Amino acid sequence: MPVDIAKGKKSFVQKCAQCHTVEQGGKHKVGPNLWGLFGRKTGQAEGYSYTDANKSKGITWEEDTLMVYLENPKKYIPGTKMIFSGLRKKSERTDVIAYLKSATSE
Amino acid sequence: CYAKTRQTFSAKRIIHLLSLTFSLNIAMASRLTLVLLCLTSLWPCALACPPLCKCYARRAEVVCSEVPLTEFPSEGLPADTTMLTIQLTNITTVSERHLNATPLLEGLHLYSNHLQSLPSDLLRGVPRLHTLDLTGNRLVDLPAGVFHHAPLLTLVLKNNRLERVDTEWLSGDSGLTWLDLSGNRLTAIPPGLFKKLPRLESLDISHNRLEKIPAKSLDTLTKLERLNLQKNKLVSLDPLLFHSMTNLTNLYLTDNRLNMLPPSLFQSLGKLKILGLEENQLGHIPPGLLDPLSSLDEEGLDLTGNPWLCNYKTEHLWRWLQKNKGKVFLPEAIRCAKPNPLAGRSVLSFGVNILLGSLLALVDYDYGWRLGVLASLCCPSHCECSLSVWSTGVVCSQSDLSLFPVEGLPITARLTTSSPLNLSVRCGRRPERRAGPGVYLQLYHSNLETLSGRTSSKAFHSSTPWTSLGNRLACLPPNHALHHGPLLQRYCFRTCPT
Repeated sequence: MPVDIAKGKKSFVQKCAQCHTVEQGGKHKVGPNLWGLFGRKTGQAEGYSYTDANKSKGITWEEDTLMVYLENPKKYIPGTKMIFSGLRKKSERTDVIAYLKSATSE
Repeated sequence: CYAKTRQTFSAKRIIHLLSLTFSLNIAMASRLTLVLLCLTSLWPCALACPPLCKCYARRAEVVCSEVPLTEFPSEGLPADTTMLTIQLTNITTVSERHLNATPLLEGLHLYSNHLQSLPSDLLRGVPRLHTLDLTGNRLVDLPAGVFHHAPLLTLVLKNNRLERVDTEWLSGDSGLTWLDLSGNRLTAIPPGLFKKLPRLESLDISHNRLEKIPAKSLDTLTKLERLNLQKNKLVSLDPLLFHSMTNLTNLYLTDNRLNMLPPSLFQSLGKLKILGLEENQLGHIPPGLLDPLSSLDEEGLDLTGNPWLCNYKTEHLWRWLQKNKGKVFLPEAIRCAKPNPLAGRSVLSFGVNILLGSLLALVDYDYGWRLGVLASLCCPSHCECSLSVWSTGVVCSQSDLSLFPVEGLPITARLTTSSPLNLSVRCGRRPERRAGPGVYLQLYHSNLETLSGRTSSKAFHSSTPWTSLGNRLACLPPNHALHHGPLLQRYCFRTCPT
């Protein structure tokens, strides 16, 4: 199925927006603001207090790493404080990641 | 390490003893001592870490993930641990005694283990615990007092096997702000549960088996911002259920069995941004239901996946959609399921509505004609009337009709070909020879026992061979058009006596 950014946004609002903002200059909530996420290493959003496990994961956030992460975040980064069991459906993950890409960068 | 000076004395003695006993030099003896002290948890040292786990000393975080643990890793757990993650292991229980080893614990993450039960007073030894995640375990039931003692803010019981929730699990002064009970087997909510949770901001009971939410049970949730009731078995909602939730911003009723919504249901939800009503059994929206939702986001309302009945009752929805198209997710996917001729049509595809007293006629826009309004289209009770460019449809099928609908039939419709086109419809007691668009009648599968003898045979267009199917007609009036229609070949009707 082709990527659907509108559906991705809908899923994001329901499952992620409680803890994360996406816009530039958006505030940190329970989780960090995600502006500038793509191409950045884990645990780097300024001003947010990450766990050491997250900071030391050492990978860079791109479509492929996000695909693995968002399926089972706690498995990918053991010791993260993000309490989210994941998006099991591949199509939903693809849509959310597409939305994220559009919403967190110029 | 407050006990350091005391330890130092014993450590010195041990080092001395070891070096004497095993002929070790002092350096090696020191190292050995340190390790021994760490293992026996006498020394809260930075080196300590349970085997199979990873420790991050800076913030006292311990992570034991996807390792063959069968019981709680008490050995070597640093006493100053603030965040403990034990996940994807085979441990089956955690006890108060285990947690007594980490009195400074703030976050306990027990995702995806094999926990089957937890003891009462589990959290007595962790007075700073604010976050407890028990997602993905095998909890079936919990004892009273299980979550007492700790000032929990976040409690996640997602994806377990809980068949009930008990108010006694929580303490009386609970400051819980986030409660997640989704993915369990709950069939009911105890009415008093949320009285204990006045500070709740986020409540997720999705993916359970709730058939109803007791009236008034949510009245104390005045701070609630997010409520997720998706994927339950809710058929109806008490009209006052959400009345006190003035701070609600996200409400998900998706994927239930709701077939109607009380008109005042969303009265207090002036701050609501997102409303999920998709995948229910809604046939229509009562007038006024959506009007209080002044804060809806762009694409914030989802009405797709419902079997909309497109008849005169659809007017309110149609008007609201016209005015608020941007607020709706995929507006063209809001489709009629009934009546049959309109099935699959998007509700918005009807170009013009005709205001009819209390009726709506949906005008078929296929030929691009714009119709101006204006007359009263009548419709017999038990029937649904619709207007298209070429005919007026009166559908009384599959209804409780037992007498031919003599009263209130739309009997003629006159179209003038000016722009906008003018439509006038005459209502009357019986169908007559049509002067404009024809009248076709569908009367099948009702309980008709007779056709009135006063009906004119000319009113029945010959393209209604199915008029009498499935009824209980014993005879047809004389000169009835059906005598000549194709139906006769299949059914033999005798003529009614005049």
